[in-house]
Amino acid sequence: MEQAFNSEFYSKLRTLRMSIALSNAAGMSGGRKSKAKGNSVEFSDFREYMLGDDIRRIDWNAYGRFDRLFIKLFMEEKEGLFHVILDTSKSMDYGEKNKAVAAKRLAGAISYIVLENGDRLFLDFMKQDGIETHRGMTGMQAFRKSIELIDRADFNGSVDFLSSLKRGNFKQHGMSFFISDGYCDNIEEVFKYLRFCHQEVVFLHVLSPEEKDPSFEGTVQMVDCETGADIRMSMSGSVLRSYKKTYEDFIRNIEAVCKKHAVVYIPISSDASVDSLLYGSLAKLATNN
Amino acid sequence: MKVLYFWPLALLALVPVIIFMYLLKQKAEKHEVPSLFLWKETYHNVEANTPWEKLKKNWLMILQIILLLLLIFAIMGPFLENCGRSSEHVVLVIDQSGSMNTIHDGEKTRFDKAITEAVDYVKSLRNGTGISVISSSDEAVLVVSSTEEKDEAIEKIKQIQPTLRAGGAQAGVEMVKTMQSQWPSLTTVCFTDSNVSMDEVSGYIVDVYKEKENVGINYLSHGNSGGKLVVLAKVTNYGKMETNKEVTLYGDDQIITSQSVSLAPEESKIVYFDKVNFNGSVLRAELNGTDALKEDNICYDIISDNKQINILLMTEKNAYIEKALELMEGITVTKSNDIASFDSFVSQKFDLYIFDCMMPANFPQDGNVIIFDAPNPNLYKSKGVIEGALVKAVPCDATRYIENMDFGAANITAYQTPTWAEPFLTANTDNGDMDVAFTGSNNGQIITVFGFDIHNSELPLKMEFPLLMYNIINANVSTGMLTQNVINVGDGIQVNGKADRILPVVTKPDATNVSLSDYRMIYTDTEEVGVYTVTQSEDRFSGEEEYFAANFPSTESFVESIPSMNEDQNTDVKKSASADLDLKNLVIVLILLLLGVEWIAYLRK
Repeated sequence: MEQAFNSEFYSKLRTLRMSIALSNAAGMSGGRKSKAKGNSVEFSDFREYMLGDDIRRIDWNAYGRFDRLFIKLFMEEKEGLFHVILDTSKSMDYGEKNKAVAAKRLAGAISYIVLENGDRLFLDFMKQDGIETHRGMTGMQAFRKSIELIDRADFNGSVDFLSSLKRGNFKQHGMSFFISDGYCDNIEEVFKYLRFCHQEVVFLHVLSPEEKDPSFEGTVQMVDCETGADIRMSMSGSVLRSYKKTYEDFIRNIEAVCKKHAVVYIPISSDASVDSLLYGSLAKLATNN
Repeated sequence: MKVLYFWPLALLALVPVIIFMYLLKQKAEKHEVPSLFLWKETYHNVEANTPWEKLKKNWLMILQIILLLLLIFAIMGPFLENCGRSSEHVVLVIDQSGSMNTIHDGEKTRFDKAITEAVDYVKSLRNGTGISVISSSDEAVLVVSSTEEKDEAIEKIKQIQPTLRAGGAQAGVEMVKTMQSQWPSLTTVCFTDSNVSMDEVSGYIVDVYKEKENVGINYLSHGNSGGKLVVLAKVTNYGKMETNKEVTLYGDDQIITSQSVSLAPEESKIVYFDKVNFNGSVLRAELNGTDALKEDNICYDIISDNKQINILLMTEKNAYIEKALELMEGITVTKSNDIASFDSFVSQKFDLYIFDCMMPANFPQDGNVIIFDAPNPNLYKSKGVIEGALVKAVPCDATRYIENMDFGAANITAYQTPTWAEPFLTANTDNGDMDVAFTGSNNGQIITVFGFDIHNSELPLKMEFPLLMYNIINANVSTGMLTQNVINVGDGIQVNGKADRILPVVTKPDATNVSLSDYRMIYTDTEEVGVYTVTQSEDRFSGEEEYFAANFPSTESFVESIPSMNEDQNTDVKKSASADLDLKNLVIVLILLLLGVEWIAYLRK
C-alpha cells in the first residue's frame, strides 16, 4: 500500500489554512467564538435583569443612569469539537489507488485543520468490534500523535456503522467527518444518529475508480473481501451496464439522504492527487459551510 | 408440413451436450471486491447469474441450440405438401424398360418407385391441369392424352406395367417433342433410372436410380466339338462387391452341369461347359441366389438344325425365276451363267441347283435339281417338241391350290415321265395330253423338270406363278419357319410358315397359344423371358415344332448413364417429383442468418 503521509502530503499540508465554520461549539473554553453568550471579555449586548441572573454581571453604571437593573452580555469563546470518524473496514482497503490511503490523508488533513484552528480533535476508528476513540487532542503538538494514530489504523473486518457509532461518545455539539465508502444498508440511520447526537456531519465518500467502472470479463466469481461471501456472474455488456446504473443510483441515494439530513456530502475518488484532496475536496468543505 | 426422415431426431442428443459444454465453460475467475453491496443489486437486476439461471438467459447458447434444432430439421427434409404447379399441361414419361425392374428399396422396384412418384405428382397438381402420360421403353406409348381428370390419369398410370424390353425414357421424350407445339406451356416430368437428353423439352428428370448389387448372364451360346456340345455363358458382376456365383446349365429343364464363378466388382467372365452330352433343343443357364435384378439371372439358347438354304441358279438371264426365289425366306441364291465352270460350284455343295436352259457336263450327285428346258437323256427321255400348246396344271402336291391353272407356251418339249416322277403340267395336243413338266425323287435326289423355257410361255404372267414356284422350291428344299432362334425380349421375330399347312401357332412361355394371322409375319408378342414354341401342323394332329428364346436384354442389366450424370444446365434432376415445397434450403438460409446473428452477438459480448 502506498504511504499515506509522505513528504508531498506534509509539504502541501503546510500551506493549508482553512476555517471550518461550526454553528454551535460545545467544548471547553477555547479560541472559537461561539454563538452562545457567555463569560468572555468581548461585550455583546445589554439585557434587563431577571430573577436568577448572576448579580455580579449587573451594570451598576447603567442602574445609576436609568434606575433600572441591566446586566451586560459577553460573547462566549469556546473550542470546537471535531470528530474524524474513519471507517476501517476491509472494504476500504481496495483499489490500485487505495481507498484507505485517501481516507488516511483526508483524516490527517482534517486533523491538521482542526488542531491548527485550536479546536479539539476526536479520532474515531470504526472497527469490527466497536469503535476506537482517541479523544481530547488539542494544539498542534497533538498533530504528530494524531498522524501516528491515523497511520497505524488497520483496515480489517466488517463494520456495522450504526452499532459502532452507538458505542462512541458524541454527547456534545460538534462536527463529525465521516470518512467511508458507505457500503451499508442503513447509512440513513447512521446520519440520523449523528444528527441526533448534535453533530454537524460531513460525509467524505471515498470510492475507487475500479468500483465506479469495473473492468471484469467473462464469468467472474466475486468474493466480498469483508464477509467472504461470493457471487458468480457472467460479465456481459448488459451486466456491466446494469452495475453502472446501480452505482449511479447508489450515489444518488446517498446524496439524497445527505441532503435530507443536512449532511455535507463530498465524494472522493481514491485516485485523486494530494493537491486535489486538500484543495479540491476539502475546499468544498469550507465553501459548503 | 411433412418430413422425409425421422432418424435425424437422434441428433437431439446433442442438445444436452451443448448445455453441458456451457456448464463446463462456467469456470469463473475469482475476484475480490470491496463489497457485494452493489453487485447484489446488479445481480437482482439482471437475474442471470447462477449457472442455471445463466443458461436460461444465455442467448449464445440458446442460439446454438436453435441452430442445432434447425440443422436437425433441415436434415429431416421438411417440405410443404401440395404447393401445386402452375403448368397448364404436364406430360409424365414413365420408363418401363427392363432396368426399371431392378430393386429400388426393399421389395419395391425402380418402376414401383416411379409409379408412386408419378401418382403423388399427379395428386399434387392443381385442378384443371392437362395431364398426359407416356410409357416408354424401346418405343413410346401415349397412355393418357391430355385429361384434366386426375383420377383417370392415376388409374391409367397404375395400369402401366413394367416390361423387360431394352430402351428407356428417351423414346417418350421424343414423343413429347412432337406434342410441344400443341401445348405451349408444357412441363415434362421423366421418371427414369437412366440419363435422358431433354433438349428442347421443358421439364425435369425424376431419378429413381439406386445402386444395387447385380450379377447377370449376358449371353449363352453353343458350338459342336467332336459330336458334343461346347456351351459358353458370359457372366458379369455389375456391382461394387466381389461375389461368387453358381452357373447351372439346364437342357430341356434337366440339370446338365454347373460351375462356380468368382467375380470381382464390374468383372465379366466366360464360363465354359465342355463336352456337354445333350441332344435336346433348349439350353438354359441360370445363376443361383438372388440379386437386385432377377430377370437377367436366366439366359436361354436354342439348338436348332435349321440351316441356311443355298441355291445355285445357272441362267443366262431369268428375272422371273429370280423374283420367284426372292419370295422365299431363308435362302441364299448364287447366280451364274458359266456352265463350263459348274464343277467348281458343285464342290460348294448347294442344296438346290436350278438349270435354266443349260445343262452341265456332270450332273450334280447331291442336292436337288430344277431344270428348265434342258435335255438330260440319262435321266429322262424326250417325246418330241410341241410348237405351241395350252399347258394345264395336273392336280398334285406341286400344283396345290392352282389345280385349274392353264397357260399358253411355245416350243414345248414333251417328256416321257420317268417312273420315279409324276407329271404336274401337261400340254394339250392333238395327240392328247402330253407331260411337259414332272417332279420326283430319283435315288433320294428330287429332280423337277420343265419342258419349256418360261420366257416362251405365259406362265410368269399368271398370278399363280409365284405359288407354283413356291410349291416346287418348297418341295425341293426344306427351310425352317424361323430364321433366328434367340432374340431379346420385345424384339420381333420373322415366322415363315408353310403356306400349304394351317396357320402357325406360337406357344408362349406361360403356355398360352397365339394363332398367327398369316403364314408369314413378324411375331412381336415376346414380352416374356423364356422359350416360345412355333408349331405348324399339316392337320390338327401332327405338326412341325420350332423353338425360339427371348432373353432379357443385357443392356438393361446395368445403366451406364444414370440421371445424375446429366450435364445439361437446363435439365433439372430430382429425387422426388412431388409438387411439395422443399423447405430444406429455406431452413439452411435461416441457419446461416442465425449464425450471423450469433457471430454479432459474440462480438458484442
